[in-house]
Amino acid sequence: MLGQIVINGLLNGFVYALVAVGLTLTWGVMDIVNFAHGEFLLWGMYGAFWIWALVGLDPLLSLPLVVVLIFILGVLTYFLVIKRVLNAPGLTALLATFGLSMVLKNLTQFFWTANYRNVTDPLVSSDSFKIGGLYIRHDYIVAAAGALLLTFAVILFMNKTKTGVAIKATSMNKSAAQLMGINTNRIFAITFGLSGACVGAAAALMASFTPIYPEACALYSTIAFVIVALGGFGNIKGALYAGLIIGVAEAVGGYFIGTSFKYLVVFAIYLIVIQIKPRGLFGW
Amino acid sequence: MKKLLAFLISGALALSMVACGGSEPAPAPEGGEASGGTVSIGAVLPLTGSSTGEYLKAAMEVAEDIINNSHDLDWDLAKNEGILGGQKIEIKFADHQASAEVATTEAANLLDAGVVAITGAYNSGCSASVATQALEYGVPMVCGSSSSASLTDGTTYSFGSIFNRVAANDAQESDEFFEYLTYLNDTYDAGIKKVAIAWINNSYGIHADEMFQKYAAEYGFEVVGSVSYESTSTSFDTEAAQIKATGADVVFQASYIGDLTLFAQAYSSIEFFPKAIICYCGGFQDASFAKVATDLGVNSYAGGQACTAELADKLPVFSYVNDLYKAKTGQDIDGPALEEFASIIIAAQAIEAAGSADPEAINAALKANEFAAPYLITQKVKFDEYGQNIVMPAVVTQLIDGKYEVVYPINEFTTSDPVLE
Repeated sequence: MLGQIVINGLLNGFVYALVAVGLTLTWGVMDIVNFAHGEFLLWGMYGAFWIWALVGLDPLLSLPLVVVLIFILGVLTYFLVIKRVLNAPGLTALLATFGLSMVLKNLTQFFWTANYRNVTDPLVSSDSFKIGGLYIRHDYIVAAAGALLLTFAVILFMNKTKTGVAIKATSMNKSAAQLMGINTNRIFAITFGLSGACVGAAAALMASFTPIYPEACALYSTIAFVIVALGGFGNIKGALYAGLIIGVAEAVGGYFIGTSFKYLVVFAIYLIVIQIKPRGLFGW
Repeated sequence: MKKLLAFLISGALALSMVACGGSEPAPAPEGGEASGGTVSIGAVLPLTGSSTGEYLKAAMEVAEDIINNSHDLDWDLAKNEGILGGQKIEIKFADHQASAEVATTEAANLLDAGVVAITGAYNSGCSASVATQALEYGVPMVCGSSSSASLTDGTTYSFGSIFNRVAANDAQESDEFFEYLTYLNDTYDAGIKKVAIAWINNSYGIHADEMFQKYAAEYGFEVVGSVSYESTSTSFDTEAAQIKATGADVVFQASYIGDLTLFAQAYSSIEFFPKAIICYCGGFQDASFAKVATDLGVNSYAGGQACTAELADKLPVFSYVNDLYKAKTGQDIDGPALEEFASIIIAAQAIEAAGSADPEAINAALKANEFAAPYLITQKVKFDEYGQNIVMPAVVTQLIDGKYEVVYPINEFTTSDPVLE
């Protein structure tokens, strides 16, 4: 059974990494903790759900549309909330995103009530295939593949495109980047949008196997913070590795010490690591 | 800066993991006056943070409509307009957000506003908070759907004198469930010997597990596993694998709709198909779960219900109530919603029986009378000294091809033979 537990943990870890990749961009690159990250995920899931419910398009097929929608939400968040507090004292931006998180959560309740919603009969179901006595869920495999693709797409974007390099330059030294002619305002907006796009992709991939309701993403969001801190701020590959570590630790920890305490292991690992390596396991 | 933020966030995370409890003492009770030709009844529900709150509210509004307006039904309460010679009832709703602490505050606000009876609160822990406040004010509580046996065991809490609960508690449900398993073995040679349970780690789940253990021993079944979990978990694959490893013939679940959905997916994904999956109220009764089970192609889920849409032909009042509810919500009324509907109806019947809107008189009427309930299979409700409805208000239903069929007990209300996986 332990093999099955580890497999479950790994697959769950990919899902965690998927959510964390977007967060590592804003936290690691812009040095802004976006407390509304979980609500971006939530709105992405509702977007995927309503497209499915109203048009009949499966979340996997509506992924590009959801990505665009949450990209726009990210850009709007930057211009309407973040930009105004960017040069304010350190915690102002953090508190602004916390406020935004509350607003989005309450708007979710207002628009769509607290009812649970499920995408029924999705394109990729929760059925499994069996390898050597281990069950591997189809929907988790798709999410894992999505996490890998997304991670490498973001890495490629950051390293191989002019905008990506500009984002990295801005994260290293904003003033120098401005002197080099980089429009940092535009770069921050793109980074927030990109973070939203990543979480939009995660939302579309998760919508077919996660019940959707206003509190659905609370723990995903918390775990994403842990993963970013563990993987190293701004380290996209680190987020992927940390996601896998957390996924396996949660599953194996739950197996050995009791499933009610599986998150105790996760947060214990986090607390220990930031004591020893404050910049995370894979941070610089 | 990032290091500072990491420490701040770890602090925030630690705070978020701390469960809060306790309640502040309430001010002295005020009277329960009817005002402006209306009688106010309080309802504390999980209107945010849970799936069922809006549906429970809709069911209570149907009850309000039936009491306040004349309906063409063979039932005096529905025929007449209002109570106490024509006074309307008004339900004042409050949201406890599935938090026992918030429930305490919201109940106190409603009691301060002069409600003459209070209802709710779905989550057992929140019902205990509301009842504790109601006791302080000397106002009766009619609890619809909370199932924890501790609410009416007469020892855990001291509010038995003002508390009344419509739903079957988990002791009654456990008794009926194991009687049902014995029936399956005797009649269908089901060969059920080993049982396990997955339960949510809260008041509802803890007591469900206790009653499960007690009645399993009483009926001679071997308990091979008891797995607890946190409702906020992102997946239940580990828990499902643990349950499968126990080799249980039948699995019990004390789960809400979100966790039950994820469990159902996890069980199917590892090809775990026990002979039956028996659910303590909660998520099983949520109409949306029928779609989940149908999607997965499993007929093994069963559980207690106060009534089911399949009985509409046999219970005309239930059918009428269901039509009103369906017009509001677009779906059939489920067990908890019907029980919350009943809580308002019974509060109104008690006010009528008391002949006044005085909370003390209403409370005495609640304890002394048997109430007609033509919308329930049992047709009546009667509370014992600690407030438990002693007319077993639930039957065993099984989700067969997406429909809640009555499979036990065997009588004129049985709609189908059980299906064994």
